[in-house]
Amino acid sequence: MLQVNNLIKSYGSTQVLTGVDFKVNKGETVAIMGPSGCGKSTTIRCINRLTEPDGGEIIFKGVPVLELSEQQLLSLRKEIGFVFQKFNLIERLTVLENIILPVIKTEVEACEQELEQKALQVLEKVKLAEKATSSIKQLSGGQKQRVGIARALMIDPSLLLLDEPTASLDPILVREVLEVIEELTDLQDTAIIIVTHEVSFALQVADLILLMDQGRIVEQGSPAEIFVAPQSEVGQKYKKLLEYY
Amino acid sequence: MSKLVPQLDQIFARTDNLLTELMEVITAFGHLTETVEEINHLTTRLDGFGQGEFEIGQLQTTLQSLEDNLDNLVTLINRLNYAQSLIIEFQDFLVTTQAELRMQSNNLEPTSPYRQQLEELIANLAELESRIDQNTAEIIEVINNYNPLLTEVTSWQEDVTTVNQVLANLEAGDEERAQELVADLTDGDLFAELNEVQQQSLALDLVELEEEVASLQRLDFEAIVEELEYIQQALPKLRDEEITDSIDLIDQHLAGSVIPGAELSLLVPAEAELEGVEAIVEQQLGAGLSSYTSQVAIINPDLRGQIYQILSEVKTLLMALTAIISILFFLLFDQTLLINAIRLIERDQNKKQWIDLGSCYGCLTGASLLGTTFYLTGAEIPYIPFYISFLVGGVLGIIAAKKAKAMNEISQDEFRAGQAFGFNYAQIMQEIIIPTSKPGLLKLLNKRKVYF
Repeated sequence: MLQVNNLIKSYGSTQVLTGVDFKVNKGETVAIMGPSGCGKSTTIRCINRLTEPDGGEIIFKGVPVLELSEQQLLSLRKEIGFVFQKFNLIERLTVLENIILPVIKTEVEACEQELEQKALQVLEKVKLAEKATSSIKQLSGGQKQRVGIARALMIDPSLLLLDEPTASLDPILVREVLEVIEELTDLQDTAIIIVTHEVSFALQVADLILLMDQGRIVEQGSPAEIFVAPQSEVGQKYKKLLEYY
Repeated sequence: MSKLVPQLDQIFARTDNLLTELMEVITAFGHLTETVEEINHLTTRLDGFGQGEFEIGQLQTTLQSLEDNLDNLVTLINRLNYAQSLIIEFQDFLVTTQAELRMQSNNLEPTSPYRQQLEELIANLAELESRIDQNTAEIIEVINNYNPLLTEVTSWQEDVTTVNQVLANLEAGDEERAQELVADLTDGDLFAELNEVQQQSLALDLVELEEEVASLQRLDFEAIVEELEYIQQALPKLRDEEITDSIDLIDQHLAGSVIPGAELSLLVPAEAELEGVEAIVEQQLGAGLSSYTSQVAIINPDLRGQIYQILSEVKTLLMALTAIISILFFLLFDQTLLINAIRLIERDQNKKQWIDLGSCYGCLTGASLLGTTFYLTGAEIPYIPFYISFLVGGVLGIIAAKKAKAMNEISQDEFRAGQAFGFNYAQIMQEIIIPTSKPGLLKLLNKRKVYF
């Protein structure tokens, strides 16, 4: 479904990505892990070109993403759900409106009632149906992130990108978000790429783990391969961490 | 005006009065000759009574008739005296009226039609006065001759009455006594003096005077008085000088060609013939125009014009300040959002930022908005050229660009979310950025487009 080859990105003189290669299949859950500043978030932002890569190749459903026109890129983004670290919700709107907003420009045929119905179903999935009419400001961090996830799911994405969805949450709230994401991994048609530091979570839900360091993937494999016999220095650190818990 | 109008009104009454009196005097004068002749005849008869036989009864009848005629003569002389006083009074009135008219006329502009009317009236009155003067001199002299006679006639009349009363008590045969009395009566120069008075000449002079006075009535006093009365009623609370000033003002502005406080200066080459130029100007702008020529330039401060100019400057300055403040508000509340959006998009597109496009946009928008507003509204800052408005607008735009982040910060998180949804920039602006911005024109216009 998604193939990334030799992805390169730099900010000024700082090389952030130095040739990232990986592949994601349909329905697969991939966890990208690594120390802060290693280029995890940049990598997934490059997939839907929220960050423009300097070079490399991204093939999504057989389409070279970096060669897409502006209009085609916008269409591509409507197929890829994105969950931000800081939720990035529209503060002035209610929960329901936030969820409907991404589809108002695409599902023009659907009536408002149908959209609401669908939004409520999605909210049901993230266990927030009762907060539909609430203001964003009334929600906890965990709830906000769940709204963010629901918003990403509203477009029925074939690829869901989650950029450190629990990084802004306190440990108590992390659990409720991870539970929701865990349930999403059961979706057969949606591939998920999640950037996370949650080792146990990755171990539990990921089909593939990519370990990154200094702008490149230093090791990739199944959770068992990575955490049982890590080859890289980063992998060994994560193993130790897992043993510590 | 308050004195003149009643005075002119009096002309009718006084003229009528004098004419009536003169006509009566003239008519009575027709009888004067007869009366004097009759008196002469009767005195001749009385003389006859002294020379021959007569009856006392006849003498009494003659004396009675003489007494009646003398009575008529006294009445006539009294009438002449009264006429004389009227004539003198009328002459005085003419002199006073002319003086009043002259005063009013002098207050009016030389070109005023009212002044021309008054001048015409004064000329007519002066001519009339002059003619009346010539006649009245003779009339008064003749009448004056009658005055001493009046005493004598009155005395003689009393004597005749006494004689008549005495005769009534005489018995028949006392004719001698009667003759003596009559002889006393006829002894005197009264009749000679009466005959010496130039009665015919006086009669002719009176007729001439009557004609002159009647000619006064032929002047069109009525129209003038009516017009002056109308002006007086229209301007009841003004003094005479103010009324004449008002008339001048009306005269000057009747054609609507004169702008209050405005002056038209025509500069012509030195060799131009000024009279010719004046004639052309009057021909073009109307005869009611006040014009003057001068060999040198005259700076003539016009208070009204200056006030108007100051007010115009204040007006344009206020417009300019209003425009500057309005545009500053517009830039701060509306355009700062666009400036921030431009900067955000520029950053998003990861282009090398040689210049701040947001500031450029603010500067251009401010310059074009203020410049256009100044041009369309006619606003201007005194002593500052028009093009400076573009500069001021540009500075306002740059100020707005500097304050853009504080005024209308765009949430980058929401912007990124919009991008992730697959929204283009217009949709991001419409659905996410503008609805969260400060109140302004953009937000107002966006209201009908936004979904939520």
